[in-house]
Amino acid sequence: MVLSLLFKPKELITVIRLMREAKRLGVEIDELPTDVVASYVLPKTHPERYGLVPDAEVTTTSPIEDLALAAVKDDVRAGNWENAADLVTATHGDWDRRQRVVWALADLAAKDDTWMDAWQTARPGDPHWIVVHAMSLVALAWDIRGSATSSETTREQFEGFHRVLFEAREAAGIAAAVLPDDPTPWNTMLTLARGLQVDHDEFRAIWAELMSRDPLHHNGHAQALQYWCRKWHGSDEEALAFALEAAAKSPKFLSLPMRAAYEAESTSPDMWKSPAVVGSLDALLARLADEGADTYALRDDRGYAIYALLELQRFEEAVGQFRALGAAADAGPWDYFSEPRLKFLGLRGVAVKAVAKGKGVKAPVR
Amino acid sequence: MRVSLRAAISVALLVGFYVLAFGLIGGLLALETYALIERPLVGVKLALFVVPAVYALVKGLISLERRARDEVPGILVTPEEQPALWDLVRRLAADAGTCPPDEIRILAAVNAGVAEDTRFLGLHVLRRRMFIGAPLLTSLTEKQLIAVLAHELGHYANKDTRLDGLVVSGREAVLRAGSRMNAEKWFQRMIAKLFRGYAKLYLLVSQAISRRQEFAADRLAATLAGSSAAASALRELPVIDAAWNLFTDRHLTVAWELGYLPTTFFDGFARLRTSPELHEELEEIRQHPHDPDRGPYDSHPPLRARIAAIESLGLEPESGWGDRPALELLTDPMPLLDAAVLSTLVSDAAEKERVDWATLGHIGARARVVRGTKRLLETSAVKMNQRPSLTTVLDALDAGHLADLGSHLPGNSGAGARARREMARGEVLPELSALVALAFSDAGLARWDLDWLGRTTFVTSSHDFDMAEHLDAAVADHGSTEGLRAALAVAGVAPDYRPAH
Repeated sequence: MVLSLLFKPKELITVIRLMREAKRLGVEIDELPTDVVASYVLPKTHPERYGLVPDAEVTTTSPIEDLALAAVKDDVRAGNWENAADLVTATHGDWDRRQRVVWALADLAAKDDTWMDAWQTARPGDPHWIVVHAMSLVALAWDIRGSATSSETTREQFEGFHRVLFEAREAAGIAAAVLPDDPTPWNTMLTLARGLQVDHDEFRAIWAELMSRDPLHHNGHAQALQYWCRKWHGSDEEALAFALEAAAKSPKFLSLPMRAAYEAESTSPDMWKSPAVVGSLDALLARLADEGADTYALRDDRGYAIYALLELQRFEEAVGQFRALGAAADAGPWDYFSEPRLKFLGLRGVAVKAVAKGKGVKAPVR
Repeated sequence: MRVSLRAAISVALLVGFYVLAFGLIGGLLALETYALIERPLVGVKLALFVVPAVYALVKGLISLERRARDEVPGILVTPEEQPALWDLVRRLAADAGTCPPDEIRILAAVNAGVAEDTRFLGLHVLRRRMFIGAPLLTSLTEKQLIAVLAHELGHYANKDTRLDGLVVSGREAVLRAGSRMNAEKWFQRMIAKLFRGYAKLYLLVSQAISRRQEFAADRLAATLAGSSAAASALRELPVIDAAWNLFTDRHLTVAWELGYLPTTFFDGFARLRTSPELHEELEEIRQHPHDPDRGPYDSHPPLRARIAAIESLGLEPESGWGDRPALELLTDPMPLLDAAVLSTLVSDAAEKERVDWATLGHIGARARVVRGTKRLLETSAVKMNQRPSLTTVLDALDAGHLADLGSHLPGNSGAGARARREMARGEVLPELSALVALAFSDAGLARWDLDWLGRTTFVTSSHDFDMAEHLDAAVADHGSTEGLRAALAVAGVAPDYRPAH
């Protein structure tokens, strides 16, 4: 790493400056505060000239999207489960929202399940409880495993991960039996299929169950795309084929081909330029033109669109998408990185700088 | 280069070893004397260098000459005690055209060999000893043993090039060169380096001779025992070696560390070698023999090349050798072989309790299980501030301390209390079930069997020992230890049970 820096004078100078700054503050270079690193590393641009919010205002905190959900999360943290239980029950039928509510509550339950116990005791046999419980076991399994590489994961963590995933599958099976219309337990099974290394046939069977209940299940498509990725149980080609099929099914899924290309970046870098992906990108941009950035899903779509636009050197359009995102750096693909805000600002800087120099492809007139 | 010429050079190099050392000593002393006479002050200064150098050289020479006065290993057998074995060895020596050994010793190792006490780097022989590994005697046929022993004697039977025998002893001596040097002292390190450099040169020159000798020794083995017995003996050696390692590592050592030894050794080894659980593994080794690691200066050609060479000779055995087990050559073999094993164990072997193999298996397995319950007992005792016992563990579980009884951390640093509790469940359940199994075993209701691979099975005569549900309930959320406690009481396990070591 150090040697390769010698051939990149600009980066070398930055590293030397960072070292000097670290020395001045009396810390190691990798302990420097994020905003200090940002001030040295990020391209010097003038975002405000392009209608962008200043760097300092950019945040990873999501604006509240679902008031009711935000309220019940606070209730749960205070130990009150009733409103949460009622909200889960009320979402039956609004499957995408139900998925978001269940997932958010399951995340809380994976940390502390005292309120879940209280719910179960007060309403024994509540089918909605099992739906949340099954999903919380998936979250718990991932908390036990962590996100380190397998060589840095202990045998005990792996054993716990698998044991809890099996429990999650059992719970999801019960939930699916007591709420036969609900796609949510099937999506839970789809999600845990990756960790349990479910084979293709079995996965397709789960997928068929989910599709028969909600053919346009938003999170289900995202989960399935992950399964078909090379790093899990598929390949670059299988992931792209799945994504294109979904994009053809509904404009809701137009960003999936970009996600497939993003996942395949290290092994199939040319996927970004394939006509099918570029076609999906253009269709997505057309769809986004009429939409804001109020939901996480929309910001997620815009984030992946930005990534594709930068790959295709369409900097002006990328700046346009950054303008639409405003200060919210909470969604993908930034959330893949340990410093999402830095990633967001870094790429935004690249786009603005390129536009300032008149580089790249100009935006088409719409 | 012709082999005899190589042999001559080897011997010249051997002699050169002494010339080098004595030359250096003489030169240094002469220089020192000259300096002391002509320039006394310089002489005194020079002495600071010369004295340690000469000391180191002399020490190096002594290390060549005086083999460490180690006790000679193995159990000595006289011709009176084992006439058949001695007759065989004498006949083989005569066929090989070399002197019979002065001693035969039985070793507890998968090895056979002839070694000589020598002076002057092998130029003068004091005593010839033959070593025979006890596991070979119990595992080979008579013909295979003949092949092994003939090979070893063959190293000393070079009728054509008399110097070659010297080369072998020379190799052994040269490998010892500098072995007594103190590596922390600069002078000694330098001298050791010098000796070793010379030794490497010698080994290089003699390498071809040594390889040729191995093939020649194999040829002799095949001539006497026949090609098929000689080849099968070579195939059998790695098999015996693997079995013997398993026997000592997974059975003798384990027992020894717990303060036990089997009453007899070689009946166990025989059963291990023929056990069904090992059959496949040993057959694999027999079909695909690999060379053991004999160090960088080993002169043996690869085992497969030797087997191929022997088989291509297609020699028939000399008449009069049998296909019976080699063991039948010995009179009253078992006490002798067991004594060979005991003699390799350090002196406190007498303090070990001697038990039969089945008991030994149970004891070894039990000890392993006891170790696996220690952590849980101690953690529970600290948490409950009670004496470590089964009851203390169950009390800790009933008091809702499951999460605190674990020791492993979840992978996500942001994980909550639930993840810790879940990890503890995975850790505590097998430990608790081991503890309960121990309680049953110590109450005489169950035992462990150890197979020859070192795997254990839990055997119980009590049909009440289906604790799975009770154990699960004991560590479950909102679970209870009630069922487990009741089952233990029915079995007659004391509530404050704690495994003794």
